[in-house]
Amino acid sequence: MNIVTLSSLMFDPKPDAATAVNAIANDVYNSPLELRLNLGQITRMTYLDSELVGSLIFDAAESVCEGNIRLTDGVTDFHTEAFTTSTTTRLDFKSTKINLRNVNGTTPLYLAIDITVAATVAVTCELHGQLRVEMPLLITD
Amino acid sequence: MSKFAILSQIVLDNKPATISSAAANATDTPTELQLSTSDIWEVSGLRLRLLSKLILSASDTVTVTVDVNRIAKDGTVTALDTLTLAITAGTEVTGEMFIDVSSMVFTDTLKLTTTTTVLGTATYEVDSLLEFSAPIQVN
Repeated sequence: MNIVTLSSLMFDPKPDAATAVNAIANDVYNSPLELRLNLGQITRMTYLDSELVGSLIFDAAESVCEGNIRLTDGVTDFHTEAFTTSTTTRLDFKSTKINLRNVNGTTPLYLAIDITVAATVAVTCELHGQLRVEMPLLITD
Repeated sequence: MSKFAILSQIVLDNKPATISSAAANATDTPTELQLSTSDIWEVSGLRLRLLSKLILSASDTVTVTVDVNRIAKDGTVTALDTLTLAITAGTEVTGEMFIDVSSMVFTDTLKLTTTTTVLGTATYEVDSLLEFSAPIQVN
């Protein structure tokens, strides 16, 4: 018997909009401590299929900023999504499939932003991210 | 015999676009945020419920439809159902409906399309939530 659940796990329903991207630095944004995701017992599953999806919203159009959005527990990066701004104020992203079965269920996951090419003017952004986690379960006699 | 159930939620777009109600716009869920290939469509007895909220920037009279669209592997788009959100001299309205997803298969993608059908002057956004529920019985 096959059973599947699919759910979206939010990192922060109201992300800080004041993350500056006009200087090269790592960890210019980290998900708030209290809102990080603890996957707990579901990491015991053999296969834990997930996608990191979301949107990076800028307060003004910026054409030269580059950086990375990392899904991390502070030690291991489970996915890195590179971004390059264009002339729009919104970048939507979707990762490749990520298997989270080796994540430590007791160590919270969070999102981090690193800036590798700085914006030339004072621009800020807010990161709306979610993990879409699919949990397949097979029951046999 | 064991009985259990799953209940979960999916938000397709955490930060939906702000849309002018002054024109008959049709706005899709951004491609990256659409619900892509998933085994969830193969679950027997799956029920899908759409919950949407239309928020206007100022009191106005506006009607918006939310189409739940199935996108097949070959790109064919089929509207599964449509939720209508109508505001008369107000700023917010909510709506919900159950959607028949029995035609969905593993390779399908799902997106929402919002269309302004009664025009106004305010801007608006539509926040939506998809709720999955499936009763499971193991003999």
